[in-house]
Amino acid sequence: MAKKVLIVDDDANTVKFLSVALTENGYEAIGAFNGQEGLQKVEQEAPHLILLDVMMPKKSGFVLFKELRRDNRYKDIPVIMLTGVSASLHELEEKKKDTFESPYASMRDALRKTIAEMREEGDVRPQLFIEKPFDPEDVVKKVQELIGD
Amino acid sequence: MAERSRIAWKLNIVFATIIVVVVVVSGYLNNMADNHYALESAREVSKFNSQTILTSLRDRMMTRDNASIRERIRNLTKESSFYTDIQLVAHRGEVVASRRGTVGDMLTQKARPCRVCHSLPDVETGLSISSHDEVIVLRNGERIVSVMTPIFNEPSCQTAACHVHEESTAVLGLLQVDSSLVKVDALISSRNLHTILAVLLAVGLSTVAMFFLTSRLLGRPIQTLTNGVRKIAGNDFGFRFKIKLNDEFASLATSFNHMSSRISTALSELRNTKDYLEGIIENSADIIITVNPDGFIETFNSGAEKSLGYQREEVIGQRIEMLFADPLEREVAIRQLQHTDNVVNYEAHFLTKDGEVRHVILTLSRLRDPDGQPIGTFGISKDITEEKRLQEQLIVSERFAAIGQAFTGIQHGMKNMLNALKGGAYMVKIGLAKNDLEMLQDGWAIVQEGISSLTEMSSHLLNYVKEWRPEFKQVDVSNLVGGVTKIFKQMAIDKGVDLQTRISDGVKPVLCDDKLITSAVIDLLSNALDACLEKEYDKGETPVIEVRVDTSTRGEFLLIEVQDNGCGMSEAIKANIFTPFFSTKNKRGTGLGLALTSRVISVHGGAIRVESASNQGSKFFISLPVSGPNQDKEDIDGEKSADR
Repeated sequence: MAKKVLIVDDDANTVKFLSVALTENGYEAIGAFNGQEGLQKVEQEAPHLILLDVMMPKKSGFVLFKELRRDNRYKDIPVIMLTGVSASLHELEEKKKDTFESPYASMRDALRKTIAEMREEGDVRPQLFIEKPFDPEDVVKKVQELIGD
Repeated sequence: MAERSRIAWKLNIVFATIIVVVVVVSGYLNNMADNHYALESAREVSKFNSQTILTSLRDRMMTRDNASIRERIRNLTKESSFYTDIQLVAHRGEVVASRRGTVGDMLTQKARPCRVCHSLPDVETGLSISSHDEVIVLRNGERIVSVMTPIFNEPSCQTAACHVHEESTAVLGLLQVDSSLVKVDALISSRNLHTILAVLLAVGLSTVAMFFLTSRLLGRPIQTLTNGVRKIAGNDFGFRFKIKLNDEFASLATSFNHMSSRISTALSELRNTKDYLEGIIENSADIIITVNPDGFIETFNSGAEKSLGYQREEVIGQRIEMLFADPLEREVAIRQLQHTDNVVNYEAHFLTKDGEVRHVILTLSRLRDPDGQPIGTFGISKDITEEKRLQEQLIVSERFAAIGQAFTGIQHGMKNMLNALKGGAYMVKIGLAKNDLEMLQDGWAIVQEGISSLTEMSSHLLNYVKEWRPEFKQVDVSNLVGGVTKIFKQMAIDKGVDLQTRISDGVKPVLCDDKLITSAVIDLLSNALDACLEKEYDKGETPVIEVRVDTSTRGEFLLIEVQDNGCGMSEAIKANIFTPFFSTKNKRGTGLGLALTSRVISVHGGAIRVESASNQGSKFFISLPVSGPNQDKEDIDGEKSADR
């Protein structure tokens, strides 16, 4: 039976082409367009892996991630975070202060804070950050690395 | 001195007048009574003498011995100077004897000795008076008393040897005795003199005594009180009266001491308060200056000294204008002050002693006395030069931040779009490989979307960066807004949003660029739609967008209002919405929409403003001057000509 991968992104196109790529490689792709819907799908479908966009309306990727990690049923599901902000975990940890004050700074602060909190709480971090723009095939490769075919 | 005893002097004069009047009147009355008594006595004596002479002549008259009578009268007048004249007149008026040589003369009834009795009605039948006397002033001024004694027809006369007088004849003649009053008058005049001297003495003594008493009992205490009051008036509030007696002056002085001690206490409290307030003013770090109504500096606190570099001695008495970098600024502030008595937070520039310009915020108040008359101006200025400098630095750093932000924004947008292109391209590749037309189409659609996003972004960027040449013409904005909302209507219905349009009647055409205004309205509407889609509505609440077009009350502005009940904005977001490349829509937004819209509106000389709160919806207001951008037009023309 094909492994289920849940894609949570508010951009329908992203959901669509990632679904195509995953399906092409033998996975069952499930789409959700915001954090809330994502949680419902997790409950309904029990996916093997989640591709989670960070910035989404209603419930951000990080909020959903934290909820999942605190729930014993779902805390072990591997998560790959997709982010448009140049905010790989490494970069976030290295860069304590932004060169420029900008609207994105607050977002980075939020990310940094979330990661710091996660560290304090002993949460498992997301398995991977993939930065946009990405090749769908690269994403599939990472999925394969994490959960196999 | 004269001034000091004025009250005593007045009292003295009044009392002296009274004393003089009383003494003079009583002396005069007393003297009159004495004079009268002396005269009366002289008359009585004269009458007695006259009776005595008549008795002594009785026998001689019985014998009609006229020679002896004359002899006797002559002797009498010769012996005593007292008698000035003695005259015996017979029944028919014949002068029988006289000191003067008038013997034998016939007197008429009108003559002086006869006149009194002959004027009486009973002169023929018998007289009711026994004698008559009168005081006569002689030609030489000497006074005499003249006694006329009638000689009655007694029974012995009717039987006398010499002759027979008929019983019917009542009066047989008269004896006139004139006595000198020289001695009496001398006595009277000497008495008069004594009286005058006594009066003068009494007046003199009593006046002196009174002067002494008034000055001692009244003048001195008044003098002391006056001096005390003078001392207090001269600010010597420590002065106290020494109280010795227990009279009204003492009680006045006690009250006075009490009063001056209270004044002294009140004054020291007042002084403390004044010192306290002055201390506050003096030690304030702000620049505090007072100016008299003629514009000259009166006070200058240490804050002013520190900020402006002057010592107060250098500026007090100088014109206030010397402190202003631009004296016109003071003029403008004073003009405002004339209307309100208060000018608050007026920005001005002071000149320091070294010629440096200090930026200040000035608050001016007019000072008035209790009658409301202006007595000067009180100004507190806060030196904000340093703040201004920091503010300018901040603006510069913000400008840099904006540039950085622009790059981040572009980068972010590009990432999302490239992501779509990569994804789309992948699907195209799969579609081609598997000959799956549907997949190919879907992938191509995504690629196209990515291309159009990039195109939109580059055109937005271009729009933002390029110089505009708006084409102004009369535009029916209600029509324009109506058209745009019609396009959005279906889109809104598809997404479950109720889009309502309210356009007032009689909206006038506006001088504007219709393409630019259309793009602005589209931007606001698409934002409103996005905001509605972002929000999770409670039960019973539905997403609503309202668009209103109206004219301002005075008709000079067109108002466009776009209101939604969507997700709204936090204060932080609201503060940034007009900033270029600021976007809350990470995937789609270019972050230039509202930045462009606000530029469009300002090019039209209008204004854009927003009211919003998180989860409370947003309301955007645009106001456009109906007659176009009056002042900005020139600038645009200027740009054009510069371009040529």
